[in-house]
This record gives sequence, structure tokens and C-alpha cells, in this order.
Amino acid sequence: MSEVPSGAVQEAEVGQQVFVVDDDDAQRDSLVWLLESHGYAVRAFSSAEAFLAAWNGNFVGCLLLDVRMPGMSGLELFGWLARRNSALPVVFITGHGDVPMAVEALRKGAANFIEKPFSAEEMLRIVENCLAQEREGRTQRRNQADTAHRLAQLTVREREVLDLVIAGKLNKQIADVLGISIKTVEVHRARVMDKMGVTTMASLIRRVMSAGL
Amino acid sequence: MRDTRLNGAAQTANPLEAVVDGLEAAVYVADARSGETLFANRAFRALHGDDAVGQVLRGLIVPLPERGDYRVAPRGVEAQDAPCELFDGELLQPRTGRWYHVREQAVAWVDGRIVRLGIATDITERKKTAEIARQQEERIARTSRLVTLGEMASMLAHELNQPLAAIANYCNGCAARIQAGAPASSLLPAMQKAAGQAERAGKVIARIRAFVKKSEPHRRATSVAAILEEALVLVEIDARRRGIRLSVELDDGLPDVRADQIMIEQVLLNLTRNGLDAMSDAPDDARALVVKARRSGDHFVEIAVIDRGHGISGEGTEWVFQPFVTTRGEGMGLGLAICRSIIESHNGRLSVKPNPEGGAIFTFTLPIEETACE
Repeated sequence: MSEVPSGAVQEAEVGQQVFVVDDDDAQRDSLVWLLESHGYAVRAFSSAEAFLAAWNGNFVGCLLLDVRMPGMSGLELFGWLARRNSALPVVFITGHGDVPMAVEALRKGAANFIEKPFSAEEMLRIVENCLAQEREGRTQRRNQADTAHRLAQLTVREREVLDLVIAGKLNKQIADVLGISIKTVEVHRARVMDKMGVTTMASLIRRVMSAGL
Repeated sequence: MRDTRLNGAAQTANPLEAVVDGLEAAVYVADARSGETLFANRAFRALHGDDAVGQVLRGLIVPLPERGDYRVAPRGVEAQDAPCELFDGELLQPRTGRWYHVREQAVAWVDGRIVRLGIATDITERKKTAEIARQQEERIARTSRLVTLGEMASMLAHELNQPLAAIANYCNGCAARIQAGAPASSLLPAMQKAAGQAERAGKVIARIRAFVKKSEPHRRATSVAAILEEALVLVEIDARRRGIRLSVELDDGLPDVRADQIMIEQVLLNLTRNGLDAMSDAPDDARALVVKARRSGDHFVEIAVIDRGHGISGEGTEWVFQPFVTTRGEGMGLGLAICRSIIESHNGRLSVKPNPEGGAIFTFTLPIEETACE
């Protein structure tokens, strides 16, 4: 992992890792080699149980998971992670004839699946997409949390003003609705912008809307 | 009614004896020390003669356990030990070839001495049935080795896939690193592992070779009727279940063919199963499979499997014999390809043509025994 070639794709953000869980030694080892050759940081496990033993909620990146394994199966591990609200996206590696199983996994929220035998290109593309989505998802979740936190700082009056601003009301209309002066509305608005950490109306609205609140 | 029964009972000494005489099993009582027969029921007397009582019998007709067969020596049994079991097992009477289940107990006789009370049941028929069942099982097991040839191919394909996928991964990784200017020495472990995987694939191939070798044909003079009978027993059950009539038209006086019977049965099984599958959606009047055997010229016997199913669509008919061609979801499409290679290894030919009545006719030839080369 230390000698990552410089010319490789390497878009993975620092901290993102590709986790590989596969019981077949040759399959797992060669997959790790392939991924590392393309600049990914990889952690491999020879069983679902071994992965579980190491897992904590801070695993970031994506998980390449063999469906069929002795002991705990890939699907069982997936279910286990889902019950713990893991945000780690899972890509299933399936053998011939396992596609119905993979479809089932997709319905339950798996990120994707690759059918064996797969080409390196296809596998790398799926991993890259998966990591990109994971980054995006994480950014979004961070923004949501941040926005929720900022909203919680608003006073009741400021929140009323914010709701009316988002509803597209003019300052004068807001003043009338709330029975306060335009001057006071302007003061509240400035405080809202400040607390929400934005400088323009557009970014204020975008931020509140994207947080889905 | 009542009277006759009473009369019947009166002929023997007592009702219990009547019951024992009514048994199909041979029942006897013999002195544990002298071996003298003290009592014999009708079934026993029917075998050993009416003068059996009073004699020392050595199991000449109904096999009796010999000294070493007993778990407890009958001579050593004392009054306080009786009743106790002496023997329970199956014995063959070598002269008549009949099997008996024999059970002997030591009991106290009416006069107080210790006797062997024995019951011998003729189980020859049951044994025969079991033997036939065992032989049939064995035959099915032998056949299934071939039935599952397709499955075997599929399994080996999977086993080959694993090392091939690993080799591809190692090589792709190496290519990426070379492009990135990594030093050659850093590629060494991956290259060595790839080589190891190639060897693993080679071993899988060697296993296929060994398997194929084991199933090399044993060709000898074989009756066509026997081949049809054996193979079609299995098909008949299947056909009945699917509501398809199966008929066999066998010309009289067909000569023997030179063939490996099991392999040809396998071919027939494949062709007839295909025929049944092809007719799964056929209307009632077309649900018929015909298997015909006739002489073809001086040197061959020709066997035809005629179905009235959906027939073979597409250009020509030869494509059905290509390996990995299948019209069904399941399977690898190796059935007909394997059939053809089996027939050709017998110096015969397997071909197909459309049935003028709809459906397909698969025909194969086998050389008549006298004309066999070698």
C-alpha cells in the first residue's frame, strides 16, 4: 500500500478505503493487488466474521463483498451492517447463477453488484462510482447536520422570519404578518444570515432546502 | 361352519398346535444337548419329511445354526437361564440356494429339559428383490456418472474461472504499475502468484483428463433390445408423468451392435428427454414419442427418436450439435455435443432432420458386431 504508483487513478479521498471480504485466497489477494495497483487503499478480510471483528462505524469507503462464503454469508453481513445503520456502501461479488440473490440485495439497499468473471475495467469503474457516491453522500450528510445545528441556534422570532423569507414574502409583508416594524425585520434577517453562515439570499434558501428541513 | 372348524381342530392334538401348524415359517423344537428333534410344525415337516421328529437334524434342508454361530452354547444353558436367545440371523442353505431367517431360543420344554425352540422363515424372495434393487441402484449410479457429465463440465468451468480471474487481476495490476513506472522488482510477487494460479488451472485440466480416461468406453457385443429396455425404463416414468405416449418399434432379428451399453443408454436418455421437453406444450394428439430400431444396410443398426414437438428452428439443423448451444435456460448446452461425440467414437453417426408431421427426428447408427473394426 505504501508504494502507490503516482500515475494511477487515485481519486479516492484520504480516509476512503476499499474493504474486500472474500474467502477465496487467490481471488482476494489478486483483487487487493489490482486495487492497490490503481492507487486505492485496501483492507482485506478472509471472512465476514473477520470483517465484523474489525468493523467500527468509522469505516469509510466501500465494501466489496463476496456473496457466497462458508460461515456467515455476504448477505448476512450486509443485513448485519444495515441493522447498525452503516453508511458503508456495499458492492456484491456474485458467481454464476447468483444474480437473483444480487438483485434481492440491491432491493435491500446494496450499492451495486459485479458478476464473476468480471473485467478489471468494469470492477474499477464500479468501485470508483461507489466511492464518489459515498463522498457525495457523506458531504450531504455533513451539510445536513450542520444546517440542522445552525437552525437550532435561531430564536423563535428569527425562525418565523426565516420561514416567511423562504415562503417568498417581502420585508413589508413580514412586518405586517408579525406586527413588527420593517426595521426590526431587517435586523432579524441579518441575524438569520449570520447564524446560518450565508451571505446571500440564494445560498440561504439553497442551504435550508437541501437540508430537507 | 362351526362344526367343520371343530372337526379340523380335532385332528391335531390341541388348538395351539393348530396355530403353529398354520404358520408359513418352519417351527421346530430340539433337545439342547442331544439335538434330537422333539417337535416340528407342518411347514418344517413338509421340508424334512414326516419322520423329522425323533431324528437329529443337521440343517440339511432348513439351515440350522452351527456350533460357532451361537452367541450362547445351547448345551451350557441351565434351567435358571431360560428363556434366552441363542441365535438370530440369516442363513443360506447352500444345496438348495435358499435363504432363511432363523431365530432360536433356549426354553424349558414341557418335561423340564432345556430345548432349542427355532423358527425359520424362507426369505429367498425378499433377498432376491433386495438384490435386484441393489443392482438397479448400482446401474443408476453408473449411468448418473454420465447423466451428470454436463453438470461436471459446469463445475469444472467454475473451478477454472477462479484461477483465471486471479491471473487476470494480477496481470492487470502489473500493467497499471508498469505504466506508472514502478520498478520491475516490485512486480515480482504478483507475477509469481499469477504463475501459481496458472499451475492451479493446469491441475484442474489434468483432473478432467483423468475423469475422461476413467470413462473410456468398453465396447462389446450388445443387444439393441437391451439398450432400449434399460434406457427407456427411466424415460417411461418421465413420459407418463408428462402425459406423453412412449412407443418402441423394434424390428425382429436385429443383430447385436458393438457398443458401450451405458454410453449408448446415455445418448438415448438425452435424446428422449430432449424429445419430451420439446413436447411439453404440444396438444394432446401430438404428445407421442416413438423410438424405432431397424437395420440400416449391411453394417449398421439405426435407432431413431421421433418427437412431435416444436422442432428445430433457424438455419439448418447442424447448430444443435454445437457445444454450449442451448434453447433452455438451464444446462450448458453440452448434451447433444456429447451425444454426437459418443456416437462418433463408436464409428456411428448422429444426425437430425425435421419430422414431416412436425417435430424432429434424431437418428443414430451403431456398427453391427461382425463389422466392428479392431
